[in-house]
Amino acid sequence: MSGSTIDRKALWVGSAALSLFLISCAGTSEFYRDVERNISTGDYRAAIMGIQSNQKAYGDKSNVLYNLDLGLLYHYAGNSDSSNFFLFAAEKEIGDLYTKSISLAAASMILNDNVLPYEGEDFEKVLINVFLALNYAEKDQPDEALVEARKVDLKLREYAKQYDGKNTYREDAFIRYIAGVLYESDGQVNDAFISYRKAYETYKTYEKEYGTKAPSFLLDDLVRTATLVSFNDEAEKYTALGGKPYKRTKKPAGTILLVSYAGNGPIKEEIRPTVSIPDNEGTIHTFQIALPKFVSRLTGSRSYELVAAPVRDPSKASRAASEVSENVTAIAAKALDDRLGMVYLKSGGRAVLKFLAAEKAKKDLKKNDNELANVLGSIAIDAVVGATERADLRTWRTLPAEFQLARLNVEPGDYTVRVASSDGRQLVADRTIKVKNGRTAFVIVDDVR
Amino acid sequence: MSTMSTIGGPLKALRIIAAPCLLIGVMALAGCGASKTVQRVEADQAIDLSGEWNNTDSKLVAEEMIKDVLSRPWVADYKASHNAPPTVIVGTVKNRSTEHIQTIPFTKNLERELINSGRVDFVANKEERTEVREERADQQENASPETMKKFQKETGADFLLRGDITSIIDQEGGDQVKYYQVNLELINMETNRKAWIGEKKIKKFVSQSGTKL
Repeated sequence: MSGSTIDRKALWVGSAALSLFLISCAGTSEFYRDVERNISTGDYRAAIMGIQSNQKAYGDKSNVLYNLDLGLLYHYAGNSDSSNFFLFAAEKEIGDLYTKSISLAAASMILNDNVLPYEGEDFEKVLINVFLALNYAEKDQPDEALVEARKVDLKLREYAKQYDGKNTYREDAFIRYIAGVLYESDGQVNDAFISYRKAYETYKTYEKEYGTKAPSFLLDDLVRTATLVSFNDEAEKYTALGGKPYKRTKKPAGTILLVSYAGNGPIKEEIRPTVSIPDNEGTIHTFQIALPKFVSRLTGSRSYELVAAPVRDPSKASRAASEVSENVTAIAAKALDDRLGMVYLKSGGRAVLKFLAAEKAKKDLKKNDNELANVLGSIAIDAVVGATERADLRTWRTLPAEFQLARLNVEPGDYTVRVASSDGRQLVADRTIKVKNGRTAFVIVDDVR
Repeated sequence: MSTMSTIGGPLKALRIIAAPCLLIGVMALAGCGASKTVQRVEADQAIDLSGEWNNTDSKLVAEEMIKDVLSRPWVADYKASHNAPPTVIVGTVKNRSTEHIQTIPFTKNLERELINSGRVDFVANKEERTEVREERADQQENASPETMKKFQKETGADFLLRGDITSIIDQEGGDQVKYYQVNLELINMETNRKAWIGEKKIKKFVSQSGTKL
């Protein structure tokens, strides 16, 4: 009889844990709809308040996402100091999560990955530093921005090691380009050329893997910087590829670089592929596993027109159209495929191990000669396995779908800058900026809806 | 007993998930006991927490590098030819590492070591000069003629000390070797010749465990 008391207790604790787990699965979607509506109308104050008053909804297992969301919303709102605060907090927390909890790992094997603290997909961890770099760039602190660019390099090298260099996202062309702009703006033309060249090489992979071509002005940048540091062979090479020939000049010049965020980034949905594996006796077992998959939330294509008019002579406006320079949705999809394919399933996969444990439990049941117990037991095991098999759908939802770039080389001075979506309907930004000689003024605008 | 065994099967199955859940619960409770302690330490005591560049690194590097630069023949050479100690200014030390190193405390350390050596004269840096000039301009309006200081009486520096901090990180799992290199150079302001080039390296091993209970 004492055995049955323990069984009852076990049943109670088990079902309590199960229901707790199901509640936490209800997730963040309720208040998030409001947050996303506020983001789409550009009301970041309301979006930030919506997130701050719902920190509990994230749960302590997803605090990284809370910090990431706030960090990015402050970035969109143009408050780079607050943005840095939350992005650094997220980065620190992710660093601490390198130390994995064995007990939680065991629990995740039996339940699912939602019991683990969320530490971000690799591309998300890299984008933290990209946004930090852009925060510093916007504040005209190129040295600090470049620290972040170098951290990207460090992280990508580390991740590539985990995949034996076989993962797709091994280099980030966008941050390489931004680093080039920052070096050039800081007068370090040699380093600028090297960064532009790395960006150009990486865009070859980007075009193949994500369908993202190098921005058309990158070849001009390569020719200009190569000429300035007297790399004549390189200057010729990139001119032949289509870069504008560059003549050294003493005329003062500065740059306006538009960084625009287009559309909502991807979210994860659950898919349930069927997996077949043979057991020791050669019998094939077929069962379903739950896996996350990124789905795009960007419909159609977007482009923006940058118009910069000198304040003292507005008739002399120059314009440029933005080009997609980082397709976050495409990078996310590939990175997740790589992780699931090369790390998760290769290591056995939680679902497979769970299935094997369940089969073992059913076999143990069969030693019992009570037929009804066998049937009920098998059903219960399958029910538990089915109910707990859930994909981890957590993701950094405030990310944009695309980063776009437009570049204007202009005379130094004050400019009225207008950014409109190219269909002419929506004005994304209208502000006045100062362009200094030899430096780049960053104009960062968002159209995340 | 037979009725019990009828439902014993499903119960056993549930126990599979119950055990780790209990374990998690106990661990969650155990985690609540943490408290904060404060301990006073000497300001020059080396404390390494994150493994990042800290004030101990800044101080040690400044001391050693200034000791090195002042032990070289350029000081004596200059004194012999000019009958006066050289005047030095500390320019910028650029951060080219993978950390947000505050370079201002480091340049302040360099300045302090230089001044306290007594071997060289020293002039204010760019920001300080601007402030002093503003104050001097203010004096022209407001100070009495006897106490008013004149323009164009500043001492120009003979040498500029500048440099950068770079880092190389070698990482394998939770283990990290951090290698900082501080490069400084002393440039003769008249001839652009480099009178001295120095470097100082710092190596740190940072280890983070991959697992905990």
